[in-house]
Amino acid sequence: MRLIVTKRVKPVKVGRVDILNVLIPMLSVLIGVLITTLIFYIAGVSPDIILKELFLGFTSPQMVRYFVLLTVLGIALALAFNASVWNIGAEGQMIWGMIAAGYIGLFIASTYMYVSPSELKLYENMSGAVIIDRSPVKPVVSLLNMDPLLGQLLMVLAGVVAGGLWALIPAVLKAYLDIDEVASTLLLNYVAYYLYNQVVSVNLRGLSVQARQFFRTDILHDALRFQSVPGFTVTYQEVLIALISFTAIFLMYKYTSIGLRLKVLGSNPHLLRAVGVDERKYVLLALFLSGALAGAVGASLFAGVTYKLEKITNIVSPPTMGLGYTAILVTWLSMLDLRIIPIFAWIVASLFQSGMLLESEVKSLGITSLTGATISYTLIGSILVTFTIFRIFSEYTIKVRR
Amino acid sequence: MNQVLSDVLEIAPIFAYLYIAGLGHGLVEKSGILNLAVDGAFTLGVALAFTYCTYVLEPTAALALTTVTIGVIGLVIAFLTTKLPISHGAVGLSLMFISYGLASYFGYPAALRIKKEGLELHTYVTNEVTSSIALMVSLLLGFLIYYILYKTKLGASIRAVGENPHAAATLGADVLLIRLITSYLGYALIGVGSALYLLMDVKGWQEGSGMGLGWIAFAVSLAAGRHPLVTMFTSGVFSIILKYRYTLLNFLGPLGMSVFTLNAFQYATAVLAMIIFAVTPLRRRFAPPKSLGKIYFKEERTV
Repeated sequence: MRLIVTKRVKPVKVGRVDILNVLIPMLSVLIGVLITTLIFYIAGVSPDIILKELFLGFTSPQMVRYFVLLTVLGIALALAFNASVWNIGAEGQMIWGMIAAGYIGLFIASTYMYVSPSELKLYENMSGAVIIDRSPVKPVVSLLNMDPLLGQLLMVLAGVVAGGLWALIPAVLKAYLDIDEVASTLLLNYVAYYLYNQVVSVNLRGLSVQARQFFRTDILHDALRFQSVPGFTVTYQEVLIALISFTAIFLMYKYTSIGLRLKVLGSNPHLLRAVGVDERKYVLLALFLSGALAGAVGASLFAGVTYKLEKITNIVSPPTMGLGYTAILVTWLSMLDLRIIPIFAWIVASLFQSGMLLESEVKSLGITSLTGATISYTLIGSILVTFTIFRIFSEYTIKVRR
Repeated sequence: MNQVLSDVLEIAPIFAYLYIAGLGHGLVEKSGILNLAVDGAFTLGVALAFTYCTYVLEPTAALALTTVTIGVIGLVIAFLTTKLPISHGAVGLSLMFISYGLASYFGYPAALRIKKEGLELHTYVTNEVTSSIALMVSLLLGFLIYYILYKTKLGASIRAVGENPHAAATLGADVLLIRLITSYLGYALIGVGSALYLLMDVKGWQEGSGMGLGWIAFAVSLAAGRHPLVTMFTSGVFSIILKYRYTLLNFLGPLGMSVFTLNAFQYATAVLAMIIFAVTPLRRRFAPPKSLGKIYFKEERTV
């Protein structure tokens, strides 16, 4: 049996749409889900349950938050991938975004202090004061130091800067030493996870009893938390970050020479060199921008979801929830097209939510052998493998001959 | 002298799993396949070794089964990247994720079984004898791989396929077959490494066990230019770091270093090793295969 692979002369179009670019990602999701269903079926989960949770995942209001966050992360990765810079380190960049936002929120925008139990009443009615810990021995109070909106803005900006700077490390290594960024970004994720543990357990550790007990920071002051959209878990600030990111990057690609050069860096770096552009600067820029957006998502996770930074006890369940890896799916499935990213962010966010629903459903049925990591990694892996193989058909035709 | 020998034997189990996994990774990449599934394969190998150990109750059988099973991942990667015009990076990363998932899929039920039935995990006893055996076997494997790569016709074919698969095919080499053999062997070695990590070092499993160590093996091999004998040196350095990182706390603790920083330190050292390789003449001396990660597209036209 022989496989005869031939390059397509022109794309398969229906009207003005390259139909394979639409069919391949959709089919990959479908087949990936089927493979995962089969694997879980072997583990004893009925396909009815999987299908039910899948449906619920697509319609759940909680999914909207993941949709918004994955849209931003998808854009972040597309920025790098379009420049042929393979940023697999969004996890680490988000972690630094969380740390930076945590520092601003807990130490600059507010102050935490012990008060005597007798003083507690004074703080109960004081504007800008929140009682964090009502311990009878050492109560803890948080006082607001600035306007909450300014505090929130500073948290996001700090996340942006921290994520961007962390991404600059592999960027410098790639641009100036030609070190493969896939390996360096992945290794730096682990460095980030463990440094995060150091920071939250030692440097930023809180004053409250729970913080001392569980190696974590104090809880963020109420006024500094992002506000949820009624009926959803997504916050206004996260939606705003997504809208600004999408518009800014879309306009950058469409109207600026920087955007054009970033795209050319991915498709024809020799051309950039030929016209005298220092391509290394654009590698730095691509990764900085990519890391900055991931950092903004990290800040959102802190100010909109967790409100505290807690030690990672198991590397498979970091506070980033593996969204940095999940976003690779979004970006690849969208074929690096910015306009398609929200569509696949919605599909992947729904699958992500379904995975979480499935995890609690199987636990309630007494099937304890399936964990969150099993569900999410198997789903991500199955879809990616299928997509990677199917992707060939957009550029090649394959015939089997005996 | 006795002290030196005892120190060497102390790090021998770590050296063995790191060196053998690094050897496997280097072997795969010598044939031109960019191996980004190494961490997934290592993590899955640890979980499989644990699962096999739980069910067959025999460490050597678990080691053999893990070796054979993980080798299959190599076959899949070699087939996909050679037969189809497909991105090596995308295949590797996809398989890495699915392997992470499968590691929990297989490992977690076995862990539950051990807990529920109060089973004892039958691993190797780590003493001077077993450590010596692990050390000797890993060194012998290193010399064997070196011999195969640089002194045999198969090795010449592997290197030729890695440098220029089209030219190698023109000269009569079967690129697919060579890559299948190399990848199977390479991944089998990664399987041996991951099984030894479980059976001789940690002797227990929890979700995420072994995650990240595949990347350390990646760095160990890369910093040695994928050369089997130089990898001995880099593996030795990393084994010392892994073994004695907590001892370092006695000295660095007063300076603000904690156990968390030291855990980060091992991965930071892996990045540092990549930097050292890149900025020193090592890079020229042990240059990566020219076709590493490049799509092997052999178009066939029928008229």
